[in-house]
Amino acid sequence: MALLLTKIISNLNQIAAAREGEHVPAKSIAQILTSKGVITFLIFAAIILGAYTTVNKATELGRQEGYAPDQPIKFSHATHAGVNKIDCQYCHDSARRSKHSSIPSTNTCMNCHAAIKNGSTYGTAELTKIYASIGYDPATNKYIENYDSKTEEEIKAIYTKWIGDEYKRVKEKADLDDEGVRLVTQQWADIKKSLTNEQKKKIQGPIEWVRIHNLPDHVYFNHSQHVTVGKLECQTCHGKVEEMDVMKQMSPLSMGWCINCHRQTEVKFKDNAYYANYTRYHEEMAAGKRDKVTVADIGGLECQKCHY
Amino acid sequence: MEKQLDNIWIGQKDLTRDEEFMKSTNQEFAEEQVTYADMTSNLSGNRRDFLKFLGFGLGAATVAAGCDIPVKRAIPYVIKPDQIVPGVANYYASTFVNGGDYCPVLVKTREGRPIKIEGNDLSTITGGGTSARAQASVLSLYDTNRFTGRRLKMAQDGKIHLGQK
Repeated sequence: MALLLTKIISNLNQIAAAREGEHVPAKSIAQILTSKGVITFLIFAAIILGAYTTVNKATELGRQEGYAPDQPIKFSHATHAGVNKIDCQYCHDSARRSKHSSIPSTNTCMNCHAAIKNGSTYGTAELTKIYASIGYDPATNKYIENYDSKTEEEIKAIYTKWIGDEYKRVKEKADLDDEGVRLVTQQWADIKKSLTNEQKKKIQGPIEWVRIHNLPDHVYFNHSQHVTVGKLECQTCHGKVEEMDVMKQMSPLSMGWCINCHRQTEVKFKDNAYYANYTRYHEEMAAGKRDKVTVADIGGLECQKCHY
Repeated sequence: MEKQLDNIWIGQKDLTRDEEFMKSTNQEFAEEQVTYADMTSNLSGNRRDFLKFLGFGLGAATVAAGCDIPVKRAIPYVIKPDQIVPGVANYYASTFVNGGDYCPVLVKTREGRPIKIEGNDLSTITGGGTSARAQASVLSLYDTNRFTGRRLKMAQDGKIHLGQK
């Protein structure tokens, strides 16, 4: 655009000069491009663009939108929340009563998986990891006594036998063939890899999931305020989790994103005991002076709400 | 060409007043590296090159490392105690006793760890009052010299009683 205008202006100047009888030689493109003005403009533009990019990228440092790491267990939200329609808060039960929506403990998994021992996608490969973590023997349907003091060899014996037996049952074979042996070895290696790391040498004990949604330490966020009081759907911030095979961070979790939502979102004010003491807003709504109350109206933009 | 002051010379060429060498000393920031015949070096670059590479290397490494976000772990319970909700504090009524001091207290705990001791409002004796010692006693709960378990004591009757001094 600017180039076009410059070209038009120079053409007009040339015509004006020609009318007055002067002869001005037309500048070649190379001359124009290497002229002082153009070079100054280009350097200026480069500095502005560079600074703009630097600031933008620096602001985004530490943000993880779209972060979808590999988890120790290939847990699929699509299978659990999508196909089987398990409520989010059945497993993430602390979302309604705590600031954290914590990752469910292994015993929550066992509520269902004490009975469901073969996964729909991965068979015994992923579910055996839960059993190895908590110490449940799926063959006898009993928790193993003194599991914490068992050696790795003892644990390996229990679960490789279970994986092998399941393989034989599914394939209707009497003995483990080569493929079966390979499968058992591979699944056991995977279980060991998932449940141990440099800090945690034992198979027994908690599953160390990779945390996806991280807020900086100087931000206070409360799940129960949004889920129980605000009656928000989990999907508002977390996206269509029920369609995700691998869990992914949908929102930028940036301050601008929070603030924007607080400006736009209408508070569910009616029949909400939590907001009963906002009498002026209730009166204004009843009198028809006000059609909605946003989060910003009740102090959702105040710094100290989240940073204190 | 009288450049040697007080007969101080550096290197053989300076001593013999080699013409080429004398010319090169006129240029303080010589393009070509001044080489001393009797100084041998295995390094191909010079000090400035080294500093350039060092600076670039450090800068590049910082930028590359700074952009990497460390993997954070979320470790849930294996078997979660019923009364614990992560993120919500639990309060337990207890008693602070130290020498002759006595005080009914409420202990605030997070995930099983005591973090604050306050007086118990429900007590008819103190009505929620505490002392500095009672408030500070939360630190003593983390004293490494505390007993980590119950004590065993053989009573007069020869049986072992748990939880008795």
